[in-house]
Amino acid sequence: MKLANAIEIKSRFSSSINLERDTAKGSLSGYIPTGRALDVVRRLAHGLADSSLGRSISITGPHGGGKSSLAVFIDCLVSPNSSKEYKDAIALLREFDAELAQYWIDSVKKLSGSSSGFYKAVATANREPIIVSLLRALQRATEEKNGPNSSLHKKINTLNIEGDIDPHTILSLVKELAKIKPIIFVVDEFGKNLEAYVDSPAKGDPYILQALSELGQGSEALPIFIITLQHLSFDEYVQGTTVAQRREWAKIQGRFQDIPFIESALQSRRLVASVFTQKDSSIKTRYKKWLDSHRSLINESGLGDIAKSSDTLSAFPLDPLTLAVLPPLCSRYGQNERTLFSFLASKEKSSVASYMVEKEFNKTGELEFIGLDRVYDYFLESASTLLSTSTTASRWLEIETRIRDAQGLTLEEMKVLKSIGILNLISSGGALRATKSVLKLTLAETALSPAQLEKKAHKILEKLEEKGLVVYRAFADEFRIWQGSDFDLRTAVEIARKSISQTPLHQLLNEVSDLGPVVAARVSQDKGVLRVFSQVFADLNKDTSSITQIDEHIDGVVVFSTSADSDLKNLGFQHFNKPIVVLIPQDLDLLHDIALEVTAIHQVLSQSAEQGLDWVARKELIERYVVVKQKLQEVTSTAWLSSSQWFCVAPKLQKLDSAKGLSSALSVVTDLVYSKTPRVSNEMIARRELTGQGAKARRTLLDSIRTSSNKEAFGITGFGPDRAIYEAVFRSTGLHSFTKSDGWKIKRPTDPHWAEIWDVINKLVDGATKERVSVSEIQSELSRAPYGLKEGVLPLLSFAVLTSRKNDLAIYEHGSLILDLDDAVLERLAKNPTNFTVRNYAAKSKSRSIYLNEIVKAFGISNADTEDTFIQIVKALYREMYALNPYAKNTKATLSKESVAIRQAFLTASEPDRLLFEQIPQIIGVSPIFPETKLAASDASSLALSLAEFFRELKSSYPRLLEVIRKSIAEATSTNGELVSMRKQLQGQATNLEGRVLDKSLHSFVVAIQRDELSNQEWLENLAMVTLDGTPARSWNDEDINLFSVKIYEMGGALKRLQALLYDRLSKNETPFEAIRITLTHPDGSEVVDVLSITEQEKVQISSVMGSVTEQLESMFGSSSAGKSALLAWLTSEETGSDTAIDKGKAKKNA
Amino acid sequence: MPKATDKKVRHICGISGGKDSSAMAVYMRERVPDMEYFFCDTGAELPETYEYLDKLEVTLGKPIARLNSKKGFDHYFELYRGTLPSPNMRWCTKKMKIEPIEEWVGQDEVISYVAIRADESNRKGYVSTKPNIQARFPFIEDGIDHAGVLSILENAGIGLPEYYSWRTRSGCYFCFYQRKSEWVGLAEKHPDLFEKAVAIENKVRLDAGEEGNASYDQFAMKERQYTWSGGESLNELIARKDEIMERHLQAQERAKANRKNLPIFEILGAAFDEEDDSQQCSVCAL
Repeated sequence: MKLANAIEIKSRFSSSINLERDTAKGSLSGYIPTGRALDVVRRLAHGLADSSLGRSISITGPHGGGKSSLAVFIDCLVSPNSSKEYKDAIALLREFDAELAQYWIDSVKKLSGSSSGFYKAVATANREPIIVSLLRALQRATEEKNGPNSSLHKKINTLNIEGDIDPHTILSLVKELAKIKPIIFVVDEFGKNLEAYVDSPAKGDPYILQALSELGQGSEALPIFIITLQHLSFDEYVQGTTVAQRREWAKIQGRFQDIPFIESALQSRRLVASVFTQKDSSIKTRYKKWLDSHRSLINESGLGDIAKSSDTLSAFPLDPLTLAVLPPLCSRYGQNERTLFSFLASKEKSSVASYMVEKEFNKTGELEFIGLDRVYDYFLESASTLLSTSTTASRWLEIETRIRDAQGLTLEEMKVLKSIGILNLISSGGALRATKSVLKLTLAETALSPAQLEKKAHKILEKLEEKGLVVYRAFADEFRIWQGSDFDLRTAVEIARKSISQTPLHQLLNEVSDLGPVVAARVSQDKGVLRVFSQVFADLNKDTSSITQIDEHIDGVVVFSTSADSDLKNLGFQHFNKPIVVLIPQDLDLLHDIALEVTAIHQVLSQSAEQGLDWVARKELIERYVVVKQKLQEVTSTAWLSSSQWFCVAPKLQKLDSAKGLSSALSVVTDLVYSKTPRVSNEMIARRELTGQGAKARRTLLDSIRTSSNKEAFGITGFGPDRAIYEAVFRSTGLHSFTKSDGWKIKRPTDPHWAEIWDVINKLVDGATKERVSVSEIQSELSRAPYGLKEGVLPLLSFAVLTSRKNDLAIYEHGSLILDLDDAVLERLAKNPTNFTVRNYAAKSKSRSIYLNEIVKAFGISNADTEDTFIQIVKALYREMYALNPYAKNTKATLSKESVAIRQAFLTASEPDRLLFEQIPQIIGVSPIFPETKLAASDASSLALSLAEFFRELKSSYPRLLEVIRKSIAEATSTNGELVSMRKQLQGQATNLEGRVLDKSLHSFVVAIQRDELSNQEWLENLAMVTLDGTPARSWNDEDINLFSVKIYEMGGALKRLQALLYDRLSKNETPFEAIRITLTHPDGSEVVDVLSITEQEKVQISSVMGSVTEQLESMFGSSSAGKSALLAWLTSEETGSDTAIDKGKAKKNA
Repeated sequence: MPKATDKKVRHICGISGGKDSSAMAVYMRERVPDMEYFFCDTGAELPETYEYLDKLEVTLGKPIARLNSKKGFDHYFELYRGTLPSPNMRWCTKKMKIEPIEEWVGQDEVISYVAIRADESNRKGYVSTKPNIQARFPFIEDGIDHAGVLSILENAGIGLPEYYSWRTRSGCYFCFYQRKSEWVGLAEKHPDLFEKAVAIENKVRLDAGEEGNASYDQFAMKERQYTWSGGESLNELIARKDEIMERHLQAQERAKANRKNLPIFEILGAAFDEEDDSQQCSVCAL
């Protein structure tokens, strides 16, 4: 037999009640009227009988306490006598309190003498004026459309609940109704009406409630009853309102009987007991026996009273400890009775009901109880969502974490551990805590003697302590999983508070209150440009300099002033070019206190663990911090945003309307200050910092401007983001447009705002004839008021102007002239405008234009696309100069001094106008050309022609070098004539030498001669490089030429000798040989140079012969080297005198 | 599935300015006549490298395409506003080597000849992940090792790049992979470049026009100081250059004591290996 068959559990609504929904059903099944509920019914019955005993009741109690269930119960009790719900309710009432049931019946009879029940005006309030809730309740009560009172019902139901409801209409209708039958108003969640009143005192006027209440009082009292249900008392709802408001409420509150709806622990236990119906009568006897056998332990545990109560026996299978723990646990960590009933009756895993379904019931022997471990499991598994909302959740989390991580425990050890966990959760120094006696009780079995039980408990607790899972706290005489904290939070926070009590309020607030930026929404929308204001707390009577120290990208400042009496006229912001708005509050008393609290907690939080702030205390502190910080935000918002005065103080003083909110007021200010902002109708480009996609689109667009400013849509095909930006900035504004004469062109926009932007840029550029203007200067002019453009669009605008005027502007990067505005430069220009400057060369004076014209002719400069402007010409000349190779850039050998000087001038000049008009003429020997100089066309022409001639000289220097090289090689190798025939001859000679040359440099030379795939010039260049140790001719300097002529002479000589040797040796064998060049100097000063050869094989042969000879010589001359020297001397004196095997005709003799 | 073959396959050979890739270029010049040679110019190479490239061009009888010439290190330094490349953020390799190559190659079918030697076949070089770029390793295929590379360069008459006397790698003068002794070498051989590297370390571009030097201290990574060489700034490093060089010489001596009759290059390499205070960039070193 299962336990569930021996004991029945009353099912009962465990989920929450909605009054409007559930009264309609009239369901009372499973409802148990608690002591409090019966008390309310009794009081109401008094009121029915006698108006002087009060007909208005307010019931205040926590969530889940059963308030709504009670309302449903009352609703049934006032139903017509014939209805089922009335009969059920009276029966239920009679079951619990027969006398009260009779009293109720009598009282109703006395009141109305009828059996048709009450008008049941029942409503669950929303956040709305009380009158709305009441009207809704009335309309519900008078739904019935037929019958004698239908016209009155209709009248009530046609009242518009959305419109303005006149309290007097309601009152007169209620009076009419009360003549028909009694009315009972039941307003659940009444707290919401109160909140609505606090939000908006004008609308939520509680007068109606007072008037209704008065109708039910006095000598001519009408049968009108009012019950309100709420979580907090009236007082708590209206805190934070004005004194007048509170007084108003006090008047109303006085007319209500306030009944706190919280069950005592005793009541709760009784409630628990009433859930179980034991069918097996042996249970009580056996339970009693169990209690008796553990009597002393139970008394030690402080459960003596509970054990005596008959409720305890009825509450089996819960043991006395569990019964004692459940009520406080449910109220602290759950929603009171709702949670309690879920634990007992729900079908959730670990609930008592599920346990009983599974558990076998044995009819004899020891009873098995549900202990605290089960409670723990239920709360962990089923109720954890409730726990997270509890303010002491951190304690629960800590306990849960430790128990979850406990490994290798026996079932009993785990049971004790969980019991400790649950006890720790509810313990507050009272009797019920995890003492050893209490824990022994969780292990109690009749079979165990007290000594055995003690031993067992001791062993388990010792193990838990050893494992570090629990700690025994001697001062509290309890075991704890929850470590608690020894850190004195109160004192720490108090000390911190003292330390900052002198800190000015605005400093405190800036430290702890993160105001963040605020957006002027309307104007941002209008112009497509986001206007962001930073917000700061400041004392305007003290230092105000920090107010203006804002990021350059912020459009203005909102100052939350902590002083109410500042002189707004003399704040000294007149030179600040951004708007400043000041908010002046009325009352800051409350705020200062909260700010101190937040800052103090914040300071304590920043203390380290060494200072004693352990993680438990830290957690608790963080929870507190979050709460007060939120409070601070609320109060801040009320002080400065609701009841305050707003002013714009810069650029000029002006009062602002605060009715429409801060964002709206900022829009007004923005319109004044940034009056010339053009509309940017593309969100992607109208930003300060572009997104990745936006930046890419802008890059593409910039490059399209560079390459295709004369094409429709800058030649952009498709409709990607670049095209969208183009349409917004260029096409729709008229900045890029088409005319028949000019085609597509960047020009002054047609949109007046944009045209003004265009003029600003052009004006700055026009002025830059003497001094350069920096691109970032142009851009920052545009980003300042009154234009206030954002950085995203600026590169496009400045570059559009630069492009449209590229012929008379020069662009410099880091002070260096940019000759080619290529994509790389453009990328940098967009990124770092600060590095770029612009100068305007209006090179239009007569003398200069004649001169430029002649240069164009002399150099044959032609540009199909553009006119030949000064900059174009300079670029063309520079291109020629760049094209020179290093040799030509360096050599002086074959150049005129003018060419050298001109080259030098080009390499060092930084201002092209000075170069072309002043330096060049001076080098050539004529006067500089200033705008006012008179210059004859012929002089200009001859000057230009000379310049061209010097350029030609520079350009031809390398070909001349190659010619020198060719001649040197020809001479050194005794080959003749032109390059082609020289190459052929040398190649012919080299072919036979391949693979036979051991000397490295000669080998490379021979290999270089044989390269066929090179053109003649390349062949020559390679040969020259190989000769000169790998330095290519194009990088030679003038000394290298001399060096080369020496080297090629040697190389040529070696080649010739090798050639000769080869012919000689070829007749003997094919073996590679090493050639050794020796020079002998005779006593008479004459020298003989000779080349000797030896093969590897010959070396070996000679060694075998000479081995013994050198040994003899060594002993003869004392050392090996002295011996070898003597041998060498002898050989040369012998050898040079006679004929040798070597062909002496090839040796070179220096006299 | 094979692709339509009407499009010509390009043969490319990248030159880093180091010996292996240069030898590869010389080695391939007769084997693949229509080889395209390229060099990713960072604009921050050692002067020796540029000289050496000139030599190579003459030897090859062909121009070496200089990729990237407009967007070198200075360009990106300005764009990134002083955010320096580092082993963790190697934008230098990405922006100045890999991207330019891939852009230059485009969608063409390409065979890339990679200069990994037969004696280092377990080394990983940069092999593009683009499907149209195939890699070949001729030195491995033909068994050409370190000695082989040296002899190819000797025979071509160009020898080793000059910087090999004090440094074992090609690439930027401020390469953060270089060894501490190589930094000392830079300071001695090219004091001007060393000074530039010091400036860059401080987010300053030297000689940026007549306005003076361009500092990006206010921008990226504000108040965070990255140093080129681990653990110390270049100025700190150079202050203890004697110590560094002493260690370097000791290492060199030890290496010499262990191995006989080796070219200086190898001795230097062994000494560097023993010091081992840096890594290699697998892309730049090829």
